[in-house]
Amino acid sequence: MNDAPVITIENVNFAYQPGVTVLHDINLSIAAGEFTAIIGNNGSGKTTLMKLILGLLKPTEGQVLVGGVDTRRAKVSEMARRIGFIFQDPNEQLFANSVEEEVLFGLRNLELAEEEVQQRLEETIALFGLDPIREVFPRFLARGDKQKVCIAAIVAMHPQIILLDEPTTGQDHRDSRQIMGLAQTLNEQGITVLLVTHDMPNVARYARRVVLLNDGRLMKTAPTPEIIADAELMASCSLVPPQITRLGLALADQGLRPAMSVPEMVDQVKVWLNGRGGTPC
Amino acid sequence: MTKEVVISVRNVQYKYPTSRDWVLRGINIDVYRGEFLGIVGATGAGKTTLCQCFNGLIPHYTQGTFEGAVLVEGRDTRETDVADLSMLVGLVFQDADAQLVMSSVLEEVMLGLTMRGMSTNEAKVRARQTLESLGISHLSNRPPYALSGGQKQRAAIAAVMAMHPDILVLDEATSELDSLTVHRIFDLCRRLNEAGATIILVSHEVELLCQYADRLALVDAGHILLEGSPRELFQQAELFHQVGMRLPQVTDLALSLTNQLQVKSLPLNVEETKAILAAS
Repeated sequence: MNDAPVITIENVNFAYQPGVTVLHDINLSIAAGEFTAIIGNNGSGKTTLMKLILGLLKPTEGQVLVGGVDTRRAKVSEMARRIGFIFQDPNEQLFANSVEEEVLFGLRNLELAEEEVQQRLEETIALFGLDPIREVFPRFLARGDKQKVCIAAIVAMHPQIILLDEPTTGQDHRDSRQIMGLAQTLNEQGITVLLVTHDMPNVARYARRVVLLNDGRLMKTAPTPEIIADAELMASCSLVPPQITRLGLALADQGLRPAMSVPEMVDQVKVWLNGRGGTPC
Repeated sequence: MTKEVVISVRNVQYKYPTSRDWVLRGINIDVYRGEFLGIVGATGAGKTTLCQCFNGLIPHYTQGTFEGAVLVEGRDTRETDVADLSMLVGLVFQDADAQLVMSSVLEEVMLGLTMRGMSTNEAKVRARQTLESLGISHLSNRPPYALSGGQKQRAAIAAVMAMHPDILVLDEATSELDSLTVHRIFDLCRRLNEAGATIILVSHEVELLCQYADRLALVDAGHILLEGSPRELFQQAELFHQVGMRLPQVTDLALSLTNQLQVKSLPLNVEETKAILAAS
């Protein structure tokens, strides 16, 4: 992982109307290869920050650089080559008549040689396991598969960054695990992942760094456990740590640490039980 | 004390005009007066379709094929106007946009009340109280289109809650809200429940739902797969996983440590889990 920033946000203020500032003095740098979650309560400015990063909104003051390019000077179509946006609702993103055409659409817009287009198509189909459904009309797919196709279509364009907006909202566990697993795999392949979400168990489990917003201000940015396990800080931003993390916090006097996931807590409890001479494992 | 049935779903099968297969495949469940019922299930299991049967939207406003019967307070929904049914059953949709039609949040919340014949002044008082209890008084004069997703959800919930329906159904109505707001809405449901309302809540927030609901129903592929107290249901962890659902994190932990811990009763919250660990 190299540490060159792929996104730099400098002294950014943003107002939808003059005098009504919704983001105040935001400074943030995202390095290549990060897996970072942007969290905050309703109205904290998550969506506005996301739109600024995508170049859909331009800062009122300050600047946003994506891949070194100032978003005020870049066209949205240029931005789309660097940063892939995954909509919350896959139905807003899917329009083609087959899964294959869905993947081809973005590729064709890149004006690549046909050979390169075909090669990337096949790579993407293989990477996402889409071969069995490549001819299927995307809207007939199950929700989890629709989301997978949306991500495939974006990843085929080889973005440096993917930004997922509430990918697990209203999803059951199976779809939620599939999409987060996919985000993790892409991150391991070097893509920078940004996740905007309310889903604290998934933030705790998958993100390595957290950006915490509150009332349009950046409260703190730190490695995930430092924020997620700080129940007081979270509460001050109307957020609650995941249940498994709260269990660890409640057992701090017993020497247990707040865990970020159930498997992590299971391992910790086993060691702890052994240490205090409980029933051996 | 005998339990009084307020909604009786009898062998209901339903198919949308556009669906190839049955979405509901023989649902049988009785909802009792004053209970807090949680409905869980994977995406596409039929939860939303079932909710729309509770207030007659199905079959009145959808074409499709409806078989079986739903009785609300003993009245067959097929033979009762949706307007009458909505006096009894308040339904908050997953998609708040489908529900908001007026030019301000306050008017939105007043609409249902004035339609029921309440005077404008009375309706205004009631609407303001409801917005206050949901922490969104400051949104009173905003038009619904200028609200964020989470604010819209709260406005839609306020509009239904203000009607003080005997039966309140929330269909994944908190999915876009931050955790403290979700807690606040669940608490409000509990207060209405304590005041006598029957609550039916569909949610993926399993940790929270099992703290509030007396009973859970697990819907899968158009059937009620399981129903019972949360603790009873979570004994069937395998079944939950098979249908794509998860258990509360602490319950999952306890089940992963059954060889190490003495778990007489599955924990549902942090305190119960702490007690089990301390005793092991």
